[in-house]
Amino acid sequence: MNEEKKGLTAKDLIVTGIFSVLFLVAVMIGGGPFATVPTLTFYFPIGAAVLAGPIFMLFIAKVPKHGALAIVGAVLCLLGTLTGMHWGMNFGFLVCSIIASFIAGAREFRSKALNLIAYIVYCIGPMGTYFVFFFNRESWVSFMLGKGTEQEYITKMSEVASGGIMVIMVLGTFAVAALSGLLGLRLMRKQFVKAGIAV
Amino acid sequence: MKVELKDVSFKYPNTEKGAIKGINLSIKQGEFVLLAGASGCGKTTITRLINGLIPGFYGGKQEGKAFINEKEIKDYKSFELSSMVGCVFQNPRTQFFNVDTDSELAFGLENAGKDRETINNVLDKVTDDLGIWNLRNRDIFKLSGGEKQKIAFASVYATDPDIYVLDEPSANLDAKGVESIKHNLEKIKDKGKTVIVAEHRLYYLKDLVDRVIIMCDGHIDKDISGEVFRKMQPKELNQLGLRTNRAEKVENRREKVDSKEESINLTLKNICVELGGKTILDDLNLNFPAGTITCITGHNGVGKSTLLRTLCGLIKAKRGEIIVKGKKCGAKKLKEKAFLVMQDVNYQLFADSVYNECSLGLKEGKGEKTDRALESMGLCEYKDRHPNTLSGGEKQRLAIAVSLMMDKDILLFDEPTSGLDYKNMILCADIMKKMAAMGKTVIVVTHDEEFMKCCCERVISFS
Amino acid sequence: MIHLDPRTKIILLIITVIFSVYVPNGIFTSLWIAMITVLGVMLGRIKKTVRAAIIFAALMYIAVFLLPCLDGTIHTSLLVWLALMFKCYPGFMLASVVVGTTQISEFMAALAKWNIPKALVIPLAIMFRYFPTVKEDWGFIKDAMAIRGISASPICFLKNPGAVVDALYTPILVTASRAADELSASAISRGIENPGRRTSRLDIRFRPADIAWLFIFINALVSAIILNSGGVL
Repeated sequence: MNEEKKGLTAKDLIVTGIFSVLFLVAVMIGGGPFATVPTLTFYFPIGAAVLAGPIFMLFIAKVPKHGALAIVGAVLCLLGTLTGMHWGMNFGFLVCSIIASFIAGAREFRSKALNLIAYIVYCIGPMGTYFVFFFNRESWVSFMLGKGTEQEYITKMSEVASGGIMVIMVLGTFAVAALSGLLGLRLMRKQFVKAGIAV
Repeated sequence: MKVELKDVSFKYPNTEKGAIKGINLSIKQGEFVLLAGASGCGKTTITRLINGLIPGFYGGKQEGKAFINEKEIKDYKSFELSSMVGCVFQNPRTQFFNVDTDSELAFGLENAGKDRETINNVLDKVTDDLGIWNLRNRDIFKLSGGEKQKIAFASVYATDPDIYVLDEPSANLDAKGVESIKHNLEKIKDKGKTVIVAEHRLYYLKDLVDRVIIMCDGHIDKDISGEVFRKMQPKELNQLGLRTNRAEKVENRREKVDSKEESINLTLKNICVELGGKTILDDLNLNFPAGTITCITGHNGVGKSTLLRTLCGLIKAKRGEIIVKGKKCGAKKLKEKAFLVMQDVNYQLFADSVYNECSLGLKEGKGEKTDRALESMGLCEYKDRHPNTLSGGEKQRLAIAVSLMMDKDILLFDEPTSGLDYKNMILCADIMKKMAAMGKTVIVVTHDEEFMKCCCERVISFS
Repeated sequence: MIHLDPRTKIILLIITVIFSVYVPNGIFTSLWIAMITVLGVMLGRIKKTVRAAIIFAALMYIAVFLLPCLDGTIHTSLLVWLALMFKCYPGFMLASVVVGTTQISEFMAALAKWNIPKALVIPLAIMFRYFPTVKEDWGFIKDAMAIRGISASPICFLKNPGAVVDALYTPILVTASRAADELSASAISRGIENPGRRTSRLDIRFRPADIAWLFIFINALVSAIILNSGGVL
């Protein structure tokens, strides 16, 4: 069992599973409060980006291989689908995780700048659902609430969801993701490398 | 099956700890071998060489060759090795893969691709052999540490390997748990299996060992027979940095505590605690004088940990009063006065260096006070190290240093000696005495009789 | 008490999700919840299933009887909130029944039968296993923080952000890393890397009960969609 393994080893997969839990918990704690209040729902991606930066940085340091992040995305996508989350978010997670994996992997997961960008890209995932909203309101509302939802609600949502809010959502997510990612890089340097749990 | 190490040296990446140098060792089929020695002496490393986790899993550099059945261990695939070598690890919380016990028992067999009927027959036989019918079809998260360890052992036993490798299996167990591990080891010894145990607590292995290998700084210091080991006096072992080979019995010293008002620091009056609708502590009355060490023992589940958590304000008592220095204290006040050193101290260490750990969250009085706290715990040389890189004993002392920084008067310890070697156990006892001499009230929940014997002034047995 | 193939449970979950997407809130949602309640109870998860059903009934009561009495912003907000709740409720409730009544080994064996690669099965299995551990760990860490006079509350965070950040991340990630190492060591030493097909101690196959429940769910879905678009109710 000494041969060099290129693909994902059992250990990599177990690390991936454990960190998937942490990613999921981070999304639930950070974004959860926004998701349940309809008028705040557009801030969900911002909330979801708050906590996971350090988790992301440690994860790609522990499993610096292509595919690991993709598995996280696939797992989140699968669980989201099975609990009836919006497909825009589920596939957003999947697609953005894969892109993030390629970005960070371009420099073997060692470039801080690229890792930071990768994290920001990863945080775009949950926005998928709201992009669907902006491009196709009817489809979104009918998915989220079923057909025949009161007009009242659609008007209300449309009021809240002005173009401005979309800008706030996108820029807010980028900003928060960047801060969380920077915190992650800082903790990597200050804590995890020194602690001997990452190289 | 024969295990053979020929001139093996190994060093972990990034650390000197646990490295071994030029080990030659040959273990016959059916031999029961104890690997003893201080923490970091390399005994765990040898177990990992034999179960194949070194070098494949941990990385690092290996020289020399290790064989099982004349074939180099590293030439086996991990799953081929798993049918020959079964492993039980130290931490019962992190070695199970499933959430329910039955699946866990079957895990190895399922990985090996055995058919359904065989698996179920084996499971029933294992359950009979080890007497664990009460643990079948249970939620592993609801089991005690000892029960988890029984499941860990049983799941290895189910795959029926010829070689058993155990790395400090008793570290987190109470006396009853240790007794059951001992029974299991007897069983496999009788079946003629090879058993290799790395352990600090030696007393329970005394009657089983055929051979004891005492390690020191990565090489074999002594290789003695079981007979010789059994005749050794505890004193001799202590000089080698090892713990006793005798089962200690501590008599119940529940003598009347000096009832002079001023010496009593902490009093419990009619304390009742309920958790999840179940009464854990019922009408408890206790006095703890300042400047004494009180040990609390008793089997799992009698409420010892609950008592500690109540004393440091993490649980609110349903009824009764807790009085500190004559003043009644609620949960919030207790949090300020008491400090708990947890069994798994890793949860309590937050900062990026030993020095910062002490000053974390404190606004004033950093510099000199920190130096003094570290000095008294003998941690000055580690000032800039990350707490996570310290050994178990050092982490514990760091937590005590934190309590000094926060001027806590009541120090609570939950199983402080689990996984500590002789030297660290003595050090831990000394520090508790020092704390008591400073006028602090020290309360220790422990199963470790050897430890109680060397520092406890008062023992309370819970039942 | 019945026992279903984990694959059946996954299909039922997918049907429920489709139901949530295509059928609006209303009487059908209630019927669907009733169906899940029966299923959950039959699978042996009685207390939690009944509790979830009662909570749903309470929400439904609010929607039907209390909501019309309100107006203005409160009305809209509550309406929208309830609409979201009803949308997610069937999926979440069934998911919790599935997770609560399926063993990890059973689940792994079922996915293996669908030829889903190990690269996906192992992380998923570990997630089931690690969720409760995170909960336990968090309990310990909260205690440890309380003893040190730190909490995750906003006030404490503003007073001492560095300490709170360290206290939140360091122990969680350090224990997660250690758990990952120890769990992997244990799993590898018990042969998880075996490339051969994994077997199971359980007899996992479709039985009459599976067929019956699939039939019930598919029928219910089709009827709901037809009745709904026909505007019968």
